[in-house]
Amino acid sequence: MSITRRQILQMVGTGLVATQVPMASASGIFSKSALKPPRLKPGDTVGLVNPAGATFHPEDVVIAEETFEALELKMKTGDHLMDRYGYLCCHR
Amino acid sequence: MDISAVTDEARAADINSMYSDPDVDAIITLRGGWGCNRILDLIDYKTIAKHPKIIMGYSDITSLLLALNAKTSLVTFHGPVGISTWNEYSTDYVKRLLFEGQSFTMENPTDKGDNLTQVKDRILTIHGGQAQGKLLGGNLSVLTAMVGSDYLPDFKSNILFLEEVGEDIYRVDRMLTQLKLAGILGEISGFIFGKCSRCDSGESYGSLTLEEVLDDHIKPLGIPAWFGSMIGHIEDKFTIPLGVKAEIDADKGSIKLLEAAVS
Repeated sequence: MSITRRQILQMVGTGLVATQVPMASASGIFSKSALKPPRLKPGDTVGLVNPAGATFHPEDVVIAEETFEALELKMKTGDHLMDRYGYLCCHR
Repeated sequence: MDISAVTDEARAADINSMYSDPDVDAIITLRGGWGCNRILDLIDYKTIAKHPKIIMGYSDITSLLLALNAKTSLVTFHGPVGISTWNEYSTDYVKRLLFEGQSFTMENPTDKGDNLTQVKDRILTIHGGQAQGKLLGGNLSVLTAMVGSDYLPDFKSNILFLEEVGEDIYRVDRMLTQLKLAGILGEISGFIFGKCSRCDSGESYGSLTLEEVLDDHIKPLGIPAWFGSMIGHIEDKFTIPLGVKAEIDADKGSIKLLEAAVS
């Protein structure tokens, strides 16, 4: 399975997916105390991604971008944001 | 060629590259649906732990919020997605939590409009009292579908919050039963049910009400619990930080954050 995935990764030219991420236990391999992300500041960039259902309406992305602009945030879209595979995002 | 592997790899790659991209400060999802559970084993948790960033969404995104917290202790955010209604009510919580780093109390609106008493957005106390713990939870169906996997955080002595949409009441009953049999309901310190939008009685003769189902499963736990919090597939909603310590009051239906959610 992982070989197939690696081959596919090469085919689609995506090198960022870790197929060999060590699986941590439910208790976590990292710190037990809360890991707090940095707060948002005006001018920051939001990455817009779609890890679940496919997007059928390009207007949704425009509305999201305008929403972020109203919060003084920039937007960067995921490479596969608009991909579709049946009801799932993303196939290319 | 294994098409489904491509789609899972692609969705995971977008998450992973947003965390490794130095130009990206936070990640917000465009929508929910179904699919996050399929990519949990493709997420690069090490990179996320090294480059903690805000991630926000709800519904199917519950899966990522819980898994990232379980694997890296990252505080994640159950709040609006790109296509949500970003009205003043919901946006205010996003601003106070994500931009201003405030710790504050979230409580249902008490507006009665021009009625003699409040009829909308009331809370229903299942069992009174106060409790403390980390806030953990999300969509009931999605969370339940993770039971038995290695991607759920430790619920022991923590506060479980749930919401649901479009499930018949007997299914809500079934899923709460699963959480009970999995030992989760028995170990939490507090319980919050948000809104169950379009949760109907189903087509067969007779049904329990949602209130009866919640009473059946939650009341015997003897822990502070209420129904009707502003969490779910609704326009006016709280943003809930997963992994942040909070104190809840089930008589008031209030969630008091005991620490800031961001650094």
